[in-house]
Amino acid sequence: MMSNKNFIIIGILVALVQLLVPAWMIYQKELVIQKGDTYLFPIAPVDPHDPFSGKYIYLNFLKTSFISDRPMNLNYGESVYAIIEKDFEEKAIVRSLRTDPPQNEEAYIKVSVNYSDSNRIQIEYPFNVFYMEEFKAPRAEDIYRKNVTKKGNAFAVVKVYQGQYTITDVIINGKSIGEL
Amino acid sequence: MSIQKDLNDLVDNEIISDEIAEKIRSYYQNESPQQKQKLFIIFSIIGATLIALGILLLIAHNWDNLSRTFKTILAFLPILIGQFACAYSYFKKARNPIWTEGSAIFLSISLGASMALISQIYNIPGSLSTYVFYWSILSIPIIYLMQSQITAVFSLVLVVVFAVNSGYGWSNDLPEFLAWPLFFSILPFYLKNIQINNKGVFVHIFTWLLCLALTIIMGIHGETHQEILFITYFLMFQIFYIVGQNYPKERNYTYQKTFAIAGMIGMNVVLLTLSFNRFWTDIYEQKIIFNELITSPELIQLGIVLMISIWIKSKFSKDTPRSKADFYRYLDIPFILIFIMGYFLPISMYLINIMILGIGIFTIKEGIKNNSLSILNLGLFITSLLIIFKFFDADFSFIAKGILFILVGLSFFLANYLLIKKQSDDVQ
Repeated sequence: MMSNKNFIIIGILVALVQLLVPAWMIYQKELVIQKGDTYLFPIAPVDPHDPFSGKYIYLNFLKTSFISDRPMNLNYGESVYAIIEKDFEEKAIVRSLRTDPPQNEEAYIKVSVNYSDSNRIQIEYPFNVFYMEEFKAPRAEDIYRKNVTKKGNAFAVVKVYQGQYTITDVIINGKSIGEL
Repeated sequence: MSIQKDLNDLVDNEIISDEIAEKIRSYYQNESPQQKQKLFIIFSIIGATLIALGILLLIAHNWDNLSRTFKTILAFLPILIGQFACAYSYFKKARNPIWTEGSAIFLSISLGASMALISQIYNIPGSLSTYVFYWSILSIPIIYLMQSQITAVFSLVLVVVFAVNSGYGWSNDLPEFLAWPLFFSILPFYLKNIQINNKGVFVHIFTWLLCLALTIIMGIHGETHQEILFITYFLMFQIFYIVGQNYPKERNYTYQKTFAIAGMIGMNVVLLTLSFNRFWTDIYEQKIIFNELITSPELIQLGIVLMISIWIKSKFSKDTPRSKADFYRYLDIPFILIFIMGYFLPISMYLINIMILGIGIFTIKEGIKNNSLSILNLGLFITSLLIIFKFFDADFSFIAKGILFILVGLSFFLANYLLIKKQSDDVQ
């Protein structure tokens, strides 16, 4: 049996670590929200077969294909770094894909390869859910299904900072989904 | 109390003396608080679990009216309550198991709940393997600090979930081998409990879980040479068996029986799986690239298990086998030889089938010799499974299959009848 003194010392250490892990998760995301650049990722209508959970809307993205100028030997599920930038309409586009992490100040996110055919690579973004209040989520799903078209009238608002990211809102026809 | 009435009747009818009746009474009176305590522990665990889940669900509603800052503060609340409850039960409740187990499991669940809530607040889809990994890392210290058995069980389940998620091709966020250090960090608590109370419920349940967990975790390294896993599994089950039969010297510990049974079942399952032709034709046609094989994770893992097996066997080699039914301890070398042969010659399937048949017949013989119905039926079970599998493999007609099933069924009846008759003759 542990002595009381040891229990206090080890107990406090363990308790601190237990609190630090969630605190670190929060810190990382808050850093992205405070310091990150905002990117608008065009979202697509959802496949009706996609499972909907009651509490969030599942996001389907429009531009997930990338054509590389040189053949990339990638496998399904492999992680790559997507360098992103904004086009003239402020929408997020993938400029290039890299296998090792970018060193400079470019905005990037780690994505996984969904399909690869030498130059043509289909990627999957690491963010695909937007949580909402329990009773609002089913209505939001409905709005999403009815209003999001393939023309790119809807966006996921994503903050990106040093490879970290967080979705802060979903915009359909210029309005936040929470307000629709 | 009905026993009170029965005791009075027994004393009145002069079947037992007053003295004995008093002894029985005091036994039940002393026994009952312990029983009550056990029940209270179970209720406290269930209660704490439900409350933790309830708080989680309340926060999971994702109240829009609350600011993000407030929600994040709320996410810490369950952890803080859990930590406080643990400290309170340690210092104020004299480590009473009702309090200890309840507060420890509450804290463990809160840790996962809090991380899930933060993921929700920041829309982090996250991977299950990373999530469960951190959850188990944060939970395992609670086992030792609070000496909590339920947290040990819970953490082992978390480790298995991590192993399955990272090792069976679902996620590659974290390397799968991390399941091993997590697993081994729970083990000392189990070993300590064996020394304290080896017949307790915890040791009993945890032993089964341990065998199951090891069986699952052992498979996480399967990549291009998955067939090697069969040897690894066979050796692992044999280690279970030998440990169960030999360690420590005083026998009849429940956990030992569990290891022996798990090992025996495991070895037979491996053999029966390998009794099919398809596996061996695949292996035979496969081209072995030696350099690739020698550095494969499967072979490295096999090497480690082999060393443990040799060590365990050498440790117990001085003991004479307790009965001839202990033949399972000698099966490893023939099995490995047959397996290696399978790469070069198309005869291994037959040899494996002969091996299973041998085990079956030998077990039946042992059952009859020792007058043991359970051993006899185990032997019959192994033999008939083999016969049935072979029949399905060979695509016989329904008539042939039907006759076979009837014959197998009859042989069960006959063998059991004969043994029971022999037993009653012996008694007379």
